[in-house]
Amino acid sequence: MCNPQKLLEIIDLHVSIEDKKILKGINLTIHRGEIHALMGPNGSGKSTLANALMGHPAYRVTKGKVIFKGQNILKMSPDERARLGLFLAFQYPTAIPGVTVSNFLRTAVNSVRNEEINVLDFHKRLNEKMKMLAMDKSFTKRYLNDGFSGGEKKQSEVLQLVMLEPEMVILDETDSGLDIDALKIVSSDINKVMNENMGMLIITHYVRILQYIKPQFVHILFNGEIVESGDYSLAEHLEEKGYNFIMNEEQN
Amino acid sequence: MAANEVPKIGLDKYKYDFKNPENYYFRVQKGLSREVVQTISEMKNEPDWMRQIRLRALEIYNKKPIPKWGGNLDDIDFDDIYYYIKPAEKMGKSWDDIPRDIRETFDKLGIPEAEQKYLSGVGAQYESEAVYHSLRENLKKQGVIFLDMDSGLKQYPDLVREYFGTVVPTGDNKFSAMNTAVWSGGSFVYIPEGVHVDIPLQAYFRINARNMGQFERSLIIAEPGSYLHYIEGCTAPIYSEDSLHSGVIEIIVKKGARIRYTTIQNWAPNVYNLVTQRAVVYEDAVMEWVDGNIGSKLTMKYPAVFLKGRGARGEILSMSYAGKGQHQDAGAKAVHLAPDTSSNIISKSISSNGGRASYRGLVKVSKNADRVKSNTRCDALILDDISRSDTYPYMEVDNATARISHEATVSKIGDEQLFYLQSRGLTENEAMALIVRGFVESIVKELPMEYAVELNRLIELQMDGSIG
Amino acid sequence: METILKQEELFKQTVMEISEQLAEPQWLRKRRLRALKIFNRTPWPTGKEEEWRKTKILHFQNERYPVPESAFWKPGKNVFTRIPAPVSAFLEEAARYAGILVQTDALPVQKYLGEEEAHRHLVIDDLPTAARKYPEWVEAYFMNRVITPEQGKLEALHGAFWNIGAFVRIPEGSAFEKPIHIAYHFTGKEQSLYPHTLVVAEPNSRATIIETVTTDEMEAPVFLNRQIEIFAGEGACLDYMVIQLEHSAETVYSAFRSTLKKDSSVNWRLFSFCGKTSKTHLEIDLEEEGATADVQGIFLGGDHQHLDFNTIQKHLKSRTRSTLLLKGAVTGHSKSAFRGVIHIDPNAQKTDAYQLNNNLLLSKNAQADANPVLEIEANDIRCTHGATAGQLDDSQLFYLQTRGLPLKLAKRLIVEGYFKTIVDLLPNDTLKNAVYDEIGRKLND
Repeated sequence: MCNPQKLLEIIDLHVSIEDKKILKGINLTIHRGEIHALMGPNGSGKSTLANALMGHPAYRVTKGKVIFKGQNILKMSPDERARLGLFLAFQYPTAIPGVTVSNFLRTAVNSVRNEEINVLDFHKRLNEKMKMLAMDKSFTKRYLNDGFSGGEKKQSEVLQLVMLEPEMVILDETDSGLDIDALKIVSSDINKVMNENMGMLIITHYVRILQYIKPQFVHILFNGEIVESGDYSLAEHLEEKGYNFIMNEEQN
Repeated sequence: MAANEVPKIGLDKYKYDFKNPENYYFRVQKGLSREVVQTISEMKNEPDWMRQIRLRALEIYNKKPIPKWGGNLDDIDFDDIYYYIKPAEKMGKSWDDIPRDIRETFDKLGIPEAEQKYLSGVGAQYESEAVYHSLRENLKKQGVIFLDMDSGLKQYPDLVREYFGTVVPTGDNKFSAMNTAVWSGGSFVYIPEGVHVDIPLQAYFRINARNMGQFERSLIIAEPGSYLHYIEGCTAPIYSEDSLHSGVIEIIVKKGARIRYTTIQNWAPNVYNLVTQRAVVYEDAVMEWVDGNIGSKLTMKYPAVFLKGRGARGEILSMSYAGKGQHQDAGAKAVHLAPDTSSNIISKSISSNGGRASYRGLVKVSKNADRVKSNTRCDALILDDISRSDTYPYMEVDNATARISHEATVSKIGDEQLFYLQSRGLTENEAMALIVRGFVESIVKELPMEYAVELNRLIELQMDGSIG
Repeated sequence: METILKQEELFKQTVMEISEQLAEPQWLRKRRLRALKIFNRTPWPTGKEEEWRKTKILHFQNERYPVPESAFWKPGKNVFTRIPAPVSAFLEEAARYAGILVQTDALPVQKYLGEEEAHRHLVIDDLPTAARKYPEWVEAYFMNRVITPEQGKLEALHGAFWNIGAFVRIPEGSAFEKPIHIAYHFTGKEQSLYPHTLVVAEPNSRATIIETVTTDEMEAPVFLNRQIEIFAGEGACLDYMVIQLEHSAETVYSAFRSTLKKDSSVNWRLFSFCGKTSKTHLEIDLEEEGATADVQGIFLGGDHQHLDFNTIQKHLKSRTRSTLLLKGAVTGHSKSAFRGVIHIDPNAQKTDAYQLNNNLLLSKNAQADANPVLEIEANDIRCTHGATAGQLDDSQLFYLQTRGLPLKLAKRLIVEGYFKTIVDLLPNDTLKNAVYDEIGRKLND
């Protein structure tokens, strides 16, 4: 990490939903090999940032730039962003009945790589990765996120992360709805994936996931703006004092 | 109780079967003809444009065939009906002003009492004409108009001319044409912009004579941001001859206004009830039809919302009970003509004792109406093996962004439910009454309280002594 | 008047010619003539009938048809050309099937019957041959018990002019694990075709039958009036899967009818992609106690297609059960209409009936109408129906896009998923792929 490369650069990003301004000028730079955490109370705009970065049509960017691997991605469709190497692990992954996990993954891998991967090779790799994540084989035959428990949904997201090999990963409240055992499993899976060429942005309300995936940088989002940035100690500070501390400070 | 005997529950007992002698001030001869229409128009001394509308309507009526769908209309003899009976010389200013037997009828029906207790205004129609009309002073001062339709036409001819027949065109169906030709009575309501009529207005329709045809015509105009709850009740004595009730109700709900129109029709089992009720609903306005069909021999009635303005909403709640010799062909119509409009239709029906309850509905989404949402839910209970239930929903979706769903179930009272309640000490009758009440609860709770109480009482009454 | 007489005379001549070409026994010729008589006296639907409100009868009255010029298949008079691709694929896999019967307009009838199955008296034959070989069965059932000319103008027309067909008899008490395949392939040499399939499942028998209709890519018959009749004897169990891929045909009328005796079950599977204008009538008559039927079908309309389905679940006796699930999607400028009736007779106590029609609107100009109907005259029953219409879920599309799938591919994947549980009912991958290929083709249009 002696010569950190810029991976993702968010410049003065303003985002609205319908006519409501949610993000009011976010600036954030993530280099390869870095893990950043974005923390904030409910309604601060955390998920808005995740969805806007991924190109959700309901989130309208009114100002600013997002440079990913040197390209402004704001004009790109979500799939173009995914093919460029951006990955969002959703807080609430959508269920798609009738589409099996394996069929979906194969289609997605082919799309991202822009080549038809040999079916046997694909299954070999899928089996390896699932073994690594200690996932049951029968998982691939199930319909995508359909009837999955909270933990299974998060595991499904991690499996996709592993298979698609993105360069920039955004985890949106990946810890929500998980008990401590499930959180440990999912966190250790994510740690297995992370490498020095990748960047990661962990969006979370609580500190606990950060005990398992340690960020070098912590940012506090409040009312659509990053109000404080620091190292891991900021998260610990927050753990002690709670968001009220920040909010009061901000209001004074 | 023998195993094959099914307890009868229902509203078959009719408590409004009291009649007065047929004294009237004026009556036309039976049957529908140009002369009859002319006579009605002359009696009312109405403007020429209205007479022309009537005469044109008669021509349309004569040209239109009797509908083949819905209920059986083969047995009614349209020539054996009196199309106009004027019960008294003039309308009363107070209850004491009107002829005694008529006043006593409305006393028995509890109308003056209700007027005192929980209504903003009352209209009472007996045969073809309104005999009484009242509206609280404070509402008058706010510019609210609540008159019988004939007085409405006399006092506000321009308003009536502007809206009459714009919601339900004369030629909409055979019976709207019939009504337009011979209409008499009904309500004319105007709510000025922003005025909220928080206490309901009620119109009560009573048929007394045999072979009577009642053709009230109502027009309700709700200016932007206004609110009104309007209640309509109907009863008649039982005769062996058929009577006919064919009303037309036109409602205009302007931007942001909201109207709830509640009908409790409890016509005698010899009355054909063929009604056209429709509302045009503009931007962000809400129209709610609450429709209780308990009486009549045959009802064909499909309250409609034409959602013309962006964000307009229609709610149609309908409850029907079909007992012995009854066919309730009731339903709903939601026509989505603008984007972001929504409709919600809930229908509950009970058929027993050989009755037939049908739901007939249409949800239509026009090409330019984006993001329409519509849900329909129909539940039917069949209480014995000689009764019948039908469901005929039509969905016509011409816009890909619509989300439309329809769901219906037909079932009997569950044996487990009955057993469970009986194991808690309820008799079979009580258990059934309780289940039926539970079944219609979601609709009944939308009724004005006194009607809800009445309905529940009727269900219970019917359970009592219905089992040998 | 004169022209009508002239037409009647002409029709009669054609019927006689067809009958002669097929060397039909006397009883069968009589049956054709009787059907023609009924056709002549039956008026065309006016369009006011509930089941004809959504499709113009004109499509079925065009001057260029409805009458075929001749028997479709003439013994000994075939031109042997290339084997059409879909048919050769089926024939290559003949061993997968208990029997396979292929009829195309360029080949003689191709028939394969497994040795073991032949030994166990399974009968699969083209209908003209069967009428001669097995008159005792064909005469008793053919357009006599399930489909009859009295049922409608187009049924009567079919009874007079049917010109190609198949007969399957599943002997009493026998169960066949491998499916039976009946394949029709049309090239467009003939303007109008009247395929007829008759299936007699004898008591306590069990089998699965696949029926496919394919056409050449560019050319196809203008008019198809196809009918399938199934008679399920006591305790019989039959799965019948119809794959309609005759996408280049102009107008298709399909009547699929089944009569179920005591404790029998018939499961229909429909895969409907056919025709520019298509009207399908599917009927289940649960005639005796304990009969059960399950219908699951998919349809996908594209371009300017018009697909109209009319289904009837008729419960005539007690303890009968029927379920229907029809999942459709429309794209392009296509239109679909569904009218499904559940009828429960007063004697049909303790019945259970279910019906659901889902419609997916995939384009701005597509249209889907639904009219699910319940007519219930018994009380000790359970009856539910539903219908929905909606478009693809935006959140599903977004989710797939975030995983790198372009919009078109994401759509296709979701639509395939929507149909999957029903496509999975097909017994082998060749058939499943044929259906998925058709879905892909339609979505790419």
